[in-house]
Amino acid sequence: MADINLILLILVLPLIAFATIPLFKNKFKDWSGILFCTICLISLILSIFSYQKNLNLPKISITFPWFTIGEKPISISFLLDNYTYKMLVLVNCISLLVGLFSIEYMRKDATKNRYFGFIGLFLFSMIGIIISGNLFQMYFFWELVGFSSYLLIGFWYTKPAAIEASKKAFFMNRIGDICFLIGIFLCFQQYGTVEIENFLNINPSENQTLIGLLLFGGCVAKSAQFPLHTWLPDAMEGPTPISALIHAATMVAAGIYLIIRVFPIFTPQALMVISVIGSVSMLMGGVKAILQTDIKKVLAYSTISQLGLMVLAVGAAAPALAFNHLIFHGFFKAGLFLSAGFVIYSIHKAQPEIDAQNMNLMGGLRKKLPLTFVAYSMCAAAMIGLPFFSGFISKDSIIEAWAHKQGFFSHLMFISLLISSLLSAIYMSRQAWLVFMGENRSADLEDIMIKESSIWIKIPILILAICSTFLIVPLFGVVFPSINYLAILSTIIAISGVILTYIFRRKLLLSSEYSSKIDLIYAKVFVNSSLYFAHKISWFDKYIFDGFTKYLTNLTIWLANFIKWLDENIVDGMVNLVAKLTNRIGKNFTKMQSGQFQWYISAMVILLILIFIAAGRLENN
Amino acid sequence: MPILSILIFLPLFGSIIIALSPNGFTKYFKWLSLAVSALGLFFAIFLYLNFDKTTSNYQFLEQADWITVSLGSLGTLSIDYLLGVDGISLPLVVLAALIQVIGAISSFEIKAKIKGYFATYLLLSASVMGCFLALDFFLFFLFFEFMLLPMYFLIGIWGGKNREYASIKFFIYTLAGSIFILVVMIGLYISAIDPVSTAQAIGLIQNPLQITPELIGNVQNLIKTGSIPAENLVHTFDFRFLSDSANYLPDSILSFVQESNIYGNPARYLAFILVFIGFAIKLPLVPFHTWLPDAHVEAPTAISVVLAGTLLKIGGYGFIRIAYSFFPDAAIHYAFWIAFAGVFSIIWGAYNALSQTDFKRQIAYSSVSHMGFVVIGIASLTAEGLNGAVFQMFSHGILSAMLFLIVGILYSRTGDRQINDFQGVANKMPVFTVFVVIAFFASLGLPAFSGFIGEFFSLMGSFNSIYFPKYITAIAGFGIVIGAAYFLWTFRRIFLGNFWIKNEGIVLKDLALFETAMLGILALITIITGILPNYIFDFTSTSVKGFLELF
Repeated sequence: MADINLILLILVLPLIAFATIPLFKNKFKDWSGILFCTICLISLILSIFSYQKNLNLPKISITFPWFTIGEKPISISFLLDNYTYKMLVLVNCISLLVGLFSIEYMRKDATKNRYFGFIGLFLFSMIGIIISGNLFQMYFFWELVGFSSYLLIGFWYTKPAAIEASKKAFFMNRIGDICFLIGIFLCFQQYGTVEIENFLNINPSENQTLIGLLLFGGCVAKSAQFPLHTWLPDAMEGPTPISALIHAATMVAAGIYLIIRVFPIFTPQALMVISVIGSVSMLMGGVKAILQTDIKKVLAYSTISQLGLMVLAVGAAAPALAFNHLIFHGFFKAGLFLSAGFVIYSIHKAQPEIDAQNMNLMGGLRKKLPLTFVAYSMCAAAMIGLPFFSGFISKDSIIEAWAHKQGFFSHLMFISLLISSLLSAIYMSRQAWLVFMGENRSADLEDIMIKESSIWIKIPILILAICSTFLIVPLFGVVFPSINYLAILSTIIAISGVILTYIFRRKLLLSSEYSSKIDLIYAKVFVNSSLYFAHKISWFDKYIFDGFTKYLTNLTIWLANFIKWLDENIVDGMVNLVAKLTNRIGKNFTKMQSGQFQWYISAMVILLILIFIAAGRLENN
Repeated sequence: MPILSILIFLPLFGSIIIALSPNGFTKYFKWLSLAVSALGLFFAIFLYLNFDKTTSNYQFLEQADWITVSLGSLGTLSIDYLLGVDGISLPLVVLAALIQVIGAISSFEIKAKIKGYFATYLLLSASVMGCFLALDFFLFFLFFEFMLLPMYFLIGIWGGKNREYASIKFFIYTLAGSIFILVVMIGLYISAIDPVSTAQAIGLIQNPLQITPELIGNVQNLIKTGSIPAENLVHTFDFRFLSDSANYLPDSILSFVQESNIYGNPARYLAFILVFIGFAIKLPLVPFHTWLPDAHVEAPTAISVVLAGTLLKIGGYGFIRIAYSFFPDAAIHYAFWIAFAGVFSIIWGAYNALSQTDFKRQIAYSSVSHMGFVVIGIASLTAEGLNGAVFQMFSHGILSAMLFLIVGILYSRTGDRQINDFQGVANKMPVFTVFVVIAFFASLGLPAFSGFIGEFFSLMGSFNSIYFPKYITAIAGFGIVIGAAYFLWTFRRIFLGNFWIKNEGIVLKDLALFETAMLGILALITIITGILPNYIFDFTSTSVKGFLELF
């Protein structure tokens, strides 16, 4: 029980940050970053402590009653195993480093308290997903993660591109969430439980493939897999540290974490679909990463590609391998983003006029930002999968998993993995070349003072760079594989990718007008069709439904006129008499009322009471 | 203490006092109506705290013979003044009491004809409360009808530009609905018997207190065999007797056993359709909804709040309490079509909301969409679905009140409601924006807010239902996506970006204290019930279980 209190503390600490930091005023705002980092540091220490203590112990599953609906008890449950502890360490570690980085990055922003508060909410929801022991609870935090991501992408809420991006991200995620939701319903119906623990020994059922795929639908949106991936590149409109934390290292990994968690539910057919989606996303992300000119978009597409790789690993029935890559990727991708963020930050600081994210304008920055260059190169090497870096281990084991499988499909997946290795080598080295190597390509940037300044920025980047090497591997309990022909093959592919890029280095520049048609088609299909449909429905509502009432009204009026005519011409004499009488009475009443509304009210109330009394009298008779 | 009568008559007396006070006291009227409403809320909370969650029977019963007329060979007409609550009505009673307070605070900004306004407002509150508490069909119908007049005046006198049109439309629609209900009410009355009073009439017992379940069973057997002379039959409007099929005369028009036909259609099915439409208009269910946007757009803020917050719930409440309880056979028969209508409402309302340019109209259509979840939850006839539906009614009451307050706050400052006339309001009204975020995201079903629980379990119920296929739920799920679209779009349009409004001369001030209080209370409730839904489910579960035994 002591363990769970520790874990709950880790969960609640960031919520406290969310509840308090945004309320800071004036001078206290400057403390918001420090306070946030302190909270992260405490959480990190607690996480490491519980990881150390529980490493390789049997998993703990704790359940509390939450509420009952009908006869169904819904519980709060926590599932604590190695995945949980490792994930906690990753998330808290990266948020601490990102928090430190943000102190400098957001120094001039007047609303930084809001910024740190929102990250607190994100952390709370993310940790909630990590420790959830049932799908309903996970969905609860899952949506909250989407919401905090919405808040953070749109943090600069006066910037139109950022607002649009936040909206898009939330909306696309919603589509996946509906799949997840219906998956939960089906699960409930089929197995009567949504406890993850119980998935280990479920009986095979006819809908199992469908349940698996519906749950995977949630992952497709959150982890930006094809075809719901378009929100992630747009999400780069948010502050760069946010991109590092949420849209590279942690939140997008939640989808992978979900499918690792519910892995026992996947049938071979479901795994096949998962593999196809993973490999398509991996290849597409890789190709598109090569075609970007924006420094952050390259990383965004590479994230899609790497997440695709993890999905593919789950497809190979090797969730543990996917998880290793998830952890290692978290560190080196955060390192890459923070390095890129620092490049943008320092260019922007020196020369606000320039487009600080356009790689075409950079080049030769290794001389001005040597430390960043080193850190960036180390992280990039991990991403490419060069020996002595963490990515090498995790990537290689995934390739191996597919290589040992039989059949045409597995070979296809294996080949796609090799192609993806080549692609990642190309896009990373291309970016490294465009940003840091060669000579500066922009006249504006030549003279201005770009320099490495704050220690707040240097420390996180350096730590992440170190975490991209082999050093991190034993810390997370991953065993070094023995060297075999596959390791050598993938190394050769990676190195040849780097060499290829060097050979074609003169042709790496691309026009920034280059943009994929796919995004436009997406916009048309999803947005325009919905709007078109909405207008049509609104028209229908106005003219048909309401119109029907109007026709009915007209008919009634016509009828009324007809009756009036009947009345005037046929029952004339008698009615006239009555009418005159009524008229006289009415006039008397009008005098009495003298336009005072209160009489209506009194009359109504008295009428009501009279009904009561009179009715009561009836009884006596 | 006759606590239920107090809940009804407190506002009624408040209304009379205001109506008969001299004009010199005008400035105290708003405080009086607030005090009366707050006292009502206090009693409602008392009711909530003292409610016995373990039984599905009606509690806090208050019964008095009201009208008893012997009609000779037609038997005896018996109408009771009968009040009571169970787990299904209790959340709605609390909601109605709360919304009454919020509406009273929001009414402070009314400047014209203050006396009439507050008197009418309290009268409306009394009749709404009566609808949720009455257990006698006749009494219910009286309150149901009496709701019309004050609403008609409130929209017709204090409304916007097009108020006459909107109020008459509201009136005619609802009146048409109540005529349907009236017809069925009479049919039920002719067909059903009060076994207790009948036992008394045929001399089995001297005093209603002597009744035992066996005696009731005996009387019901006698009814079944038709061996009680017609003049000794006591006809009833009592909800408790109407929902028991054994109390129906075998040869009557709405009899369970002998199928009577009207033009070749089973009479019970026709009656169900009539009463269903009657409440569907109130709910409102597409295609009976077009009065709602007009009524909302024209109504003053406080009245919109009450209309969306509580009046619409009478529709859902009527489904459960009347249409479904008295016609379970027909409800099962039409389950697919009802669920279909519910899903249709969800999608239809959501798409309409998406294309509106008037903020208030959009919120009105979002109500149509959200009430659709109530319908599919009820149609599912599962425990999750029904609990979810009641929860969704409560939640929608809180959230729609918030949403209409938000529109009202914007409108009271600018006199403008067009979504395209605003931009970047967050810059000037940050506190307001926080509440808007809460209301919007709670409405689009974000977890940790009540809307999520309501939608989730209504959908889950519909998914588990054996009466209609699963794709219905899938389509309804799509409605949630569209729901996200229009809320996000409106939020982006009005609140984000650089500040700009069409009427450039206006200085936007952030929330005043009373506005913060109203929104704050509602926001707190939506969060609490969203995280701890057992505060409502604990009350509904047992009653829903009892209700489901009818099917």
